[in-house]
Amino acid sequence: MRTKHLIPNNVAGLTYAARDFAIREGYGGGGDGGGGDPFEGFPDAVLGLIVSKLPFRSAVAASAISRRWRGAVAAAPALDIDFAAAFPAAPRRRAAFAAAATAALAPRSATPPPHPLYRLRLALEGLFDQAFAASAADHLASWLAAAAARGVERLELRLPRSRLAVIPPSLFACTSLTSLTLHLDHYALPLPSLTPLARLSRLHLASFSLNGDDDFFGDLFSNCQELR
Amino acid sequence: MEVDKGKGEAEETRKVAEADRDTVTLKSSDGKLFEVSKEAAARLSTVLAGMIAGGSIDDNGTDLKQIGSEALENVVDYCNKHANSIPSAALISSSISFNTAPFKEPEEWERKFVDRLSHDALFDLVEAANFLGMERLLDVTCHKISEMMKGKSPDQIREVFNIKNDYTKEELEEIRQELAWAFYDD
Repeated sequence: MRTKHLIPNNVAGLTYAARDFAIREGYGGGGDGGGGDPFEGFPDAVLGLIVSKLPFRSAVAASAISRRWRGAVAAAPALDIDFAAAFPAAPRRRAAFAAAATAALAPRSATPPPHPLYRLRLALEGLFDQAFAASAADHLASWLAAAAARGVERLELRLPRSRLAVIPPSLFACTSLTSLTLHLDHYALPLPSLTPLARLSRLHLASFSLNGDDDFFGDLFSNCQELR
Repeated sequence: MEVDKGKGEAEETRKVAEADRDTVTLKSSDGKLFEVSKEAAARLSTVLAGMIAGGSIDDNGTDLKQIGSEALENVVDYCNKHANSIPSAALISSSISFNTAPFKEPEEWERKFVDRLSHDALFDLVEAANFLGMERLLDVTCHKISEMMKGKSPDQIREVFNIKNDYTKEELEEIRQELAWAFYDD
């Protein structure tokens, strides 16, 4: 099976052409040229960076590669946790998806201090079906609490129209946020005041209603002075 | 006295000349020398920026013992290409665009730059970029690796990169139950 691998990768003067051949054949060796694991020399933060560029489903698949990769998703500086994108055909496996999201955001065996998380996108359309909605609401609260603890700076939250898809108080623990996008689908409740998020410089709101009694924007602009 | 003074002036002129040089010389682990634009090096590498600011740049070649000549050549090539590519609006206003475009994709020339690399060269470049604190280069090279992993099963990824599966049979069964949704179309 490996008979095509005639030229050891560490031969001096190996040309790019020969190397390209090696790639095309899928026989890229290791960084040490001896066919070892090329990721061996990478710190966990670099594995996390690689995983952060994958769709969540692929990021989770990556954690099954080896023991080393198991923790990579928890080291990712950015996560795009999109339920509908993970199950394009039909939404299912909600509990397994939620467990993977928890492992990525708030791993149980996290060696302190946790890796910083800069960007988080939570697109939870489809997660709040009748049987799972209450559980999904609990998960959402704990995910945002975990993101807050990791100092999340940019957050996009997309919630479906559901009685139980409520913005949890833990959103307001994310005081490092500089950018917040809330996509709510005809949100039934008045939007809570965002004044605890004092560092916000960008805010995008879609499909929500305001409580007529509050001066939502007045409070917002007097408290979030970075907003442009 | 006069001689000393003259010497001092010469020294002074030499120092000025050094400060005015717009390149720095870097030396790979195997002793090869590379010249790189000082401006680009300082802008793209936090480590080199620190060395330039701290005056620890050696005119005869600053030793980078952790980086082989092939990787360093790629680093320097990247810096020079960066310096020559018209500083795109995206880079100038990075602090603003970063917010609006959270996942800034590699630019066309950056994509070509990493696409021509072998596996080995790509991985060595990741380590060099990480060592030199070159955030953008690290981002672009890791993006390339992620593209090679995207949509693949753990088995396929292990095969592509020659990674050893060190899970026990029991662990594998547990993982299959927990994570199979992510790699089987069940």
